Amino acid sequence: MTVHECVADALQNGLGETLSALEHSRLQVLQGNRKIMLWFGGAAIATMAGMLLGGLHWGLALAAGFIVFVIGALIISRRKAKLANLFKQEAIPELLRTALPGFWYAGSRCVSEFEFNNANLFIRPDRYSGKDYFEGTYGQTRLHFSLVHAEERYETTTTDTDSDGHTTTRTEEHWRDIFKGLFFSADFNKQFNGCTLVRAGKAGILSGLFGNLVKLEDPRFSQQFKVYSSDQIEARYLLTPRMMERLLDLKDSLGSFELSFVGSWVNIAAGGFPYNAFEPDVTHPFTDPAQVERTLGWIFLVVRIVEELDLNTRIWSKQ
Amino acid sequence: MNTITLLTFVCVGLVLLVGMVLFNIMVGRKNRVQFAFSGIDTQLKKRFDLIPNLMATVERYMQHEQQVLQQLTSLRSQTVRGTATTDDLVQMDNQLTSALRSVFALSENYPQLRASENFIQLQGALNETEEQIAAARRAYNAAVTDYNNGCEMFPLSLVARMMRYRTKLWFEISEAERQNVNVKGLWS
Repeated sequence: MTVHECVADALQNGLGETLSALEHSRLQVLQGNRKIMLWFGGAAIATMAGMLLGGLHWGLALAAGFIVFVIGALIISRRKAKLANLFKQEAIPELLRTALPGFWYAGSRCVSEFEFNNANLFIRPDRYSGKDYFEGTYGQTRLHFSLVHAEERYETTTTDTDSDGHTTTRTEEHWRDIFKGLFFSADFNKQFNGCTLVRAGKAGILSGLFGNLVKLEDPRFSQQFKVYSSDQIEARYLLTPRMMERLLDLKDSLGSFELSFVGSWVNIAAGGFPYNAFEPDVTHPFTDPAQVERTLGWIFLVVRIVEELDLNTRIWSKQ
Repeated sequence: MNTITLLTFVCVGLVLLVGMVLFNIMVGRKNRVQFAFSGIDTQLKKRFDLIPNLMATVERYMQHEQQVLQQLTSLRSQTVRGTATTDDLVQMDNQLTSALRSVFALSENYPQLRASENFIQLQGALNETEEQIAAARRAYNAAVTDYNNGCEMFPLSLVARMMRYRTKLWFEISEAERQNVNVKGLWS
């Protein structure tokens, strides 16, 4: 079924009522936001005017007015985020009930940090978070996925010397992304014991220094990916010529990704996947089918990785 | 010790060091070929070991297909004797592949056999071994390519010539195997 047909089906089976109720909440929130904007806008102007009339410096008055305005903007932003979460909590499970029976969704959960580390694709993060967790069985393949944000902490030290020759050393903490995007795991259809990594990018002269490099026959695949494995034969058992073609096709639909075969599961980390993929547009009516079609379109794109990699073919000893 | 003597020692030392590195690279490549071939051997043995189970399962149902079953038994006993050379092994593997395909094709006439849990498991195991053999062959061919490159490309070719290493042949599949086989079709 296409996304459009699935949404039409879901709308007839309870999603329509859910969206109407959500639209009612949305209108209430937006009306409230307008009031907050007016109140805080007025308060900001009044603060600035009061301070200027009181003889304070105009810069100070402007800063105070700006702070009041920012507080108002933060409140509005929080209300919008709450509304988006409400949409996801109410509409997505309803959508899944008809489009992907057996799947469940948890907006605040994500793939566990243990699983993320176990995939061996990235270094261990210092800060780990995520959202929009989906789990279910598609055909014969169990799978789960979520958006993940993994970060690494690093410090910078700066030394300043003042006019008297005194030096002060400042250490600042910063965060940089290790990975931000979609993390997908599915039960692979073949049995294997080792660990095989498919990394984005062509292998260079020094690539062999970072692990046991596997040279595969498909030149098109080798232009896009480099493969490391604990077992040369097992890597070729998993990455058959057909599988290499499938991974190239997947790259066309999903964008750049890295992949690992560990513990009989295949893990895919797609950094190009939008982090707001499952967020609704709160400025647009929730009753518009385009809203849920967009969400379901992203869900289907991910779930259908199972079809793209042909994981439902179970003709080997693993059932 | 004057400068010229020192330079001579340094040059000789460098030549020896480079020679040693090249020698080790070539030995490493040759050993990788042998290791990769042992991988094929292991997978072939794994497949041969599945035949008695397959025979025990299909004999009860396919009593009218004695010719194919006898061929399977004979191939199995030839490998058990252990006198086969590498070339013989490759040839027997090709014959075995074709005999197994006949068994699975003929099994379509025996619905009870196809429904048997044991047969389904064996077919899965044989499919798996088949793909593992293919993977082992690809690993072997990759190792042979590396080794042959060493034999033919300068400067490793100098070392290869000194060690009397000759290029090796790739493990090529038989003509029958080149034809596309719909494994899914056999399964369903």
